[in-house]
Amino acid sequence: MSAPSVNKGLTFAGSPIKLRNIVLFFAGVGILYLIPQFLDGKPFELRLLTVIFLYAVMGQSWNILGGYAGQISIGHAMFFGLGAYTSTIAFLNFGVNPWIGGLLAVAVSALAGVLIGIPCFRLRSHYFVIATLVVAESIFLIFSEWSFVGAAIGLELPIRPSGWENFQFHRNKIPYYYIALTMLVVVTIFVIWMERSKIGFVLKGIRDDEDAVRSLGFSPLRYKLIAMAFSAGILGFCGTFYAQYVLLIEPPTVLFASISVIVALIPIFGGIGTVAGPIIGSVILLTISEYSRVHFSGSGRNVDLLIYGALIMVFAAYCPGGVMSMISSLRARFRKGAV
Amino acid sequence: MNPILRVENVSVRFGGLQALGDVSFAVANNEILGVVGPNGAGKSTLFGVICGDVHPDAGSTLLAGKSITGKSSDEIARSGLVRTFQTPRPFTTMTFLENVTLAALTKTNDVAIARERARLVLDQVGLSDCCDRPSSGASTGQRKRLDIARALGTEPSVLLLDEPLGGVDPGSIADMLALLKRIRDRGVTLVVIEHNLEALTGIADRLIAMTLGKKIADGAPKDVMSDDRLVRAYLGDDDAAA
Amino acid sequence: MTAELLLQLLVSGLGMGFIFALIAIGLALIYGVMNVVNFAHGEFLMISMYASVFAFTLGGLDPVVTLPFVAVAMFGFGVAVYYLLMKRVLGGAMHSQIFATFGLMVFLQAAAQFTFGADYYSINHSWLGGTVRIGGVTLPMPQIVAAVGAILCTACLYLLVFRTRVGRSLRAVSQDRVAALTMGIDADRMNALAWGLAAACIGVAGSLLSNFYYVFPRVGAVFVLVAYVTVALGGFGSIGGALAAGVAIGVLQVFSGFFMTSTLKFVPVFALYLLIVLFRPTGLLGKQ
Repeated sequence: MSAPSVNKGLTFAGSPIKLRNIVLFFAGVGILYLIPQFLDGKPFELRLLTVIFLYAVMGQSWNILGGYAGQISIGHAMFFGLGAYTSTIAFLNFGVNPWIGGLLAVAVSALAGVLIGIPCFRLRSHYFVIATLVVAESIFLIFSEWSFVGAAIGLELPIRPSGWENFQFHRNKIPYYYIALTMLVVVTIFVIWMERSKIGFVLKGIRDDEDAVRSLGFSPLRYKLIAMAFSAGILGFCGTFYAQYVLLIEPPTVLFASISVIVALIPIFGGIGTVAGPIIGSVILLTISEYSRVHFSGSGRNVDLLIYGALIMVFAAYCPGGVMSMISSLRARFRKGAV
Repeated sequence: MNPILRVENVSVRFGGLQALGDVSFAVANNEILGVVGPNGAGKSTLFGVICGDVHPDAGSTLLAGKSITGKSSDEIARSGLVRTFQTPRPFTTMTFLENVTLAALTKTNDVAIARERARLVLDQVGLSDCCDRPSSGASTGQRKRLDIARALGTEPSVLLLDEPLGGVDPGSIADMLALLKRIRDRGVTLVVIEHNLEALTGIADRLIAMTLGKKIADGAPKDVMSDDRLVRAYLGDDDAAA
Repeated sequence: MTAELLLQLLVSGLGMGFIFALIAIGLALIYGVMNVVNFAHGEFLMISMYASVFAFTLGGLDPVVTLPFVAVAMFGFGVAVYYLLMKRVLGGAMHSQIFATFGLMVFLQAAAQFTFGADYYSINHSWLGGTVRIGGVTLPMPQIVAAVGAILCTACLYLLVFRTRVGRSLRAVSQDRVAALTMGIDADRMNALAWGLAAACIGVAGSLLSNFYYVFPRVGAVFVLVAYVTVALGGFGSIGGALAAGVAIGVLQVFSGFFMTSTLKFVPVFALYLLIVLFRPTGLLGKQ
């Protein structure tokens, strides 16, 4: 079936988009903005939703590089950590407002991504994966020793009065929910746009066959760097959000390998290279992780990682397309059954 | 005659092997030039040098009078010289249309415009029925056409085709040859590596013959085909060629 | 810096280097045969170290005694990982190959933390206590045994791979998989063997290491990153390269550890990885 050559319908970034999907998207978002009205006195649920949004954003950002461009990084914690440190140090040492600090974090993380990408993007497959791993580990080790950034003890943010201007909310945490949700909405719209734009086409081409993309006249390095800048920059802001939310950053919580694992796992589990994948992945995995934290508190902090590890293995071996591919194959089967 | 592509005294060594030795030739604007020779003659290495995938040890290449020697392959492609691969390499997670749309995005930032252009190109190569099919399921003949369509999507002035008839079923060869002629009639210069000599002589304006990294004949297809050096090269009498 | 100190650092670097080499050889073996990087390699080491340490603290058995048992058990573990996990992703997308072993890594690490907690365990008063003085150099006995054991194990592996029929099949698969298949070599069994041997090497390395290194859930991460560098330096898939590179890196990290705080001593080793893969992707010793 070939579509009509002139599109009379709605388009977004040059491609047609269904009105129904737009309505569903914004209706969903609208409901999510109303939910906090019903979460009064339910701090666990409020926190759960807030971290689901945060990690969905982090998953989206990993997915830009890993899912669309096919450059698998297992060192993405470094960009999250750099973002957290940037705004915190800017605040502690120079009194920079955390909102401005968040923008600085985006810039610093994106720049770091580009600087790391320039040499590392010459590497392919496992060479690249290991490079991201050793760079992230080096940054972790250096930050654990560097007294300017608080070394192994980390940095504590001074308590300021609650308020939007301070990016700190103490008794009522609902504003964090709104900020995280807004981040998710903005980033998701951005990824939908990117996927349909020239950049998205070229990135998917690089994932499929880098040499063929080059033979057509695109510079793969240039596009990989663009993807890296987006990916790292978004994570940088997530780092700032985390710092303002928890008010304490230490190398083991913001730079550690487990963050890199989760950030990669969320889109892989949900569906690598899809817009909905990171959101589905975050909903399922963060729910598991937050509940396991409640039930195995203290010693069992790692039950979530135990489940995650098992899930990564099972999905890699039995369902490499993630939940999204399960859904689409179920749909296909359902349609066949209907006919 | 002002040649659009010139190859001057190009030599390439891989370790101890002389892959190309002092090869020179020119391609006239809007010509179909066939490159023939037995396996290992250096035809693919020659393509590699022209496209910037292989850096020559000596010699130079010029496109429309400007040197492209030592430039990166994407830069050369942007200046209008694009290749296809011996084994077609479609972007397997994309549909036919998306494959060509990506190529057309070299000339525009607007995806809608690129998509319209891709439809036209797919129509030209006879794949308009396949637009929305995934390219992973394509037959060899379809892949060959898709590869050509993708290259055409970049609006090249020179197209290097590496065995466009390889793996194409005999019944479709005439179609493919007609397609190549149509592409030339639209103003594109074609350089074609092909083992099907009979088919190639039918459309080429000129042939160059190679063996063991050297050019041994250059001229009208009939003359080159009857050149006994080429005949001996194919029969494997290496001494005669040297 | 005195000549004695220099010699001391050099010798202890060599000792560590042979352990690194043994770990890296397993990685190289799997990569050579299957073109897959085992991201759970460090966790194999962690398992064998826990096994050695608990055999000692619970059963009073010294790692020297349990070493062969740990090696054999690890061989079985490696084979099991191949058949249950790796075999399924062999022909699949690159990301599923990476994430299969990566998931195993996360799982084993978390399982260790779940079972044993984050505490550090070590062996006190093993049979191999004390130090040995040779000339002006003082060396702890466990490290000498570790170096000697690692050399012996490497030698055995070398003989197996290069001097036996099964070793020849193994090399045939790693050089040209398709040709080996047409010659009737059972590639599946060779893959399983590579995983088994790699895990057995790790079993030996872990047993030797447990005599002087504490074990904790993330101990593997420390060693495996060094093993990646080693394998890159020696050329992915090259056993001889992994041996030479392991020794070189052992010496490098001891010296860099002398000049900077011990946490940072691996940073130059990691920088080395980037330099090698960027400028000589086939490794310093691999063929161009």
